[in-house]
Amino acid sequence: MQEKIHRTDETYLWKRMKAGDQNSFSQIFKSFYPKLYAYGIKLIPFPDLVRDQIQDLFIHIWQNRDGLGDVTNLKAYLFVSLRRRIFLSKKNELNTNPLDQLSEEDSQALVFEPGEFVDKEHLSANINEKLIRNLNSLPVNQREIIFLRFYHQLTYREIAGIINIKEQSIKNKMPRILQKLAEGITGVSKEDIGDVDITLFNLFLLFQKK
Amino acid sequence: MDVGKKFNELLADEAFQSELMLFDSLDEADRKAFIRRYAVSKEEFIKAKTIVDGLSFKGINFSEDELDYLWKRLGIENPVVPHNQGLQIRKMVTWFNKIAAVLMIPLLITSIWFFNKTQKLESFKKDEIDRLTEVYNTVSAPVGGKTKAVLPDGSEVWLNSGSSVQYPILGKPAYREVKLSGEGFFKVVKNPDQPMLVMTSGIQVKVYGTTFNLSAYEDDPYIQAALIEGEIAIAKLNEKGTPVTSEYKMKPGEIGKLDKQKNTVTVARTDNMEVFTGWVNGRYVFRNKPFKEILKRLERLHNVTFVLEDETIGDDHFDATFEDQNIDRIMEIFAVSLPITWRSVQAVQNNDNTYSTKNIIISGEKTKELP
Repeated sequence: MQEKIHRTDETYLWKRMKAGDQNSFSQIFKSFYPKLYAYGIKLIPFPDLVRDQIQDLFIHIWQNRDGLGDVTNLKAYLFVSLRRRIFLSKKNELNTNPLDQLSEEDSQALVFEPGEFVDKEHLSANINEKLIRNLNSLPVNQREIIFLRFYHQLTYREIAGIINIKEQSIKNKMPRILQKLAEGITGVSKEDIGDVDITLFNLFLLFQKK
Repeated sequence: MDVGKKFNELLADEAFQSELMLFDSLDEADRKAFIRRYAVSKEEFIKAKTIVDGLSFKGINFSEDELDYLWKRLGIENPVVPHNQGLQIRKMVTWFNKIAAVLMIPLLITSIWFFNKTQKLESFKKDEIDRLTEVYNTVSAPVGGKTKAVLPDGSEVWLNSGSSVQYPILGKPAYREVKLSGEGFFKVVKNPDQPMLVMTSGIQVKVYGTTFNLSAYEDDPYIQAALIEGEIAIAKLNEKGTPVTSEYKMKPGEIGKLDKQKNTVTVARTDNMEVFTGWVNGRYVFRNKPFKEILKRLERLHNVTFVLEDETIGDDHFDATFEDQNIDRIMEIFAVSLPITWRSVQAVQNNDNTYSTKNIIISGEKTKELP
């Protein structure tokens, strides 16, 4: 029976990786691969391309580890690197202009389907559909912000770094984006909410001061 | 329209969003506090909650085997795997139906009806307990040792160091009630008519015949139930031992966790059940845990006290696996893997003829290169 102990926090693993430790690098790889894949596949819906880009990114990191600095936010660093790679690969393959931002021509990028959301029993199909329709009708850059915020639970600051716009600009835009998302969800009727949420209504009434 | 604008700004507030995403795992007091703090109206709250719930994306799960394969394919560790083999494995994988759905306790399902029902049950149970207080039996494991208890119904409980179970010698009509302090691994005999109720200081676990591990040490920040097979239902308790949330039915592979400080219960899946159950077979497995947490567990197992001369190393995170064996041997393993030195101070006899616990002093070794 083998016995072992090793450190697993990001800063340490990154430092060890830079010193040439394969084991640490393997841990970074395995913990970030699923997150990177989930992001990449929404940027461009070609699984093989996304996998190749993630693989190339990690090979690049390993080969250039001596020249890499300390990374304070590994997740944001890996996300922005993958994003850049995917845009570059698109430029090469589709012969479009280099892009910093997604364009509306990327009709397949960040389009969402009901199957990609956790089933919430208390939300009626009606509301779910409305919300997804509202989401898909947002400009692609705004969909990306929503995806990074609510799926990857990144902060506005991290998102700003990844999509290369100012944090303040995200903060300014967000109220309007969310307003558009909520369109048609105002004035929800009781039938729309379903039985279970009526309980929430009741609960809420108990909370409120008279 | 000023009101609407203000609400949209609140909706866009990062802290508000983050807290709302966790709303379902809060208890009633925290929910009230949340609503007061943000002073939202009923309609606004429902709207905001609907949006956040509606935007819960499913995760994409990768198995250990697959990640291993992808890692090897990088070609850093081993020679590159031939391409055709890669294609075969690729076909076997279906990304989207393996879902790491983050399961939150469906507190929304709490209904007034259910609450009443639970209370009736509780008062009935209390009468029974009062009647049979004298016929409890207790089995304990000494600090530094393990023991196994067989309950009157044939169920088995393995008790970890310093733990005990208390159970009635006479079975009760509604429940087989057991009190646990510390940590126990349960194999419960199936009896749908009379579920077992395991009580701890923070949660109760209703058991329908199954295998699970329950860790409820008083000095731990968490109470954790890990379900291996069958079905259990957990509910949070108040100081009086009465459930304050509706029950959550756990599925095999899930961990239900009460965070005592935040006073929240969450449920999540685990890929590594051995972390929770390994101790039964003398294996101690840690995944991404701070060094001080690992030491705390060792203190309990070996009845020693650790003194960290350099506190900072206590916050470093580690994966660790070791066998149940002599503490000096375990310290040797640490010292080869980590930049530390250690020395032990043998137990001394106190004035009152008791013995102090053995102290192990750990200091950082600055000169040694990190492994």
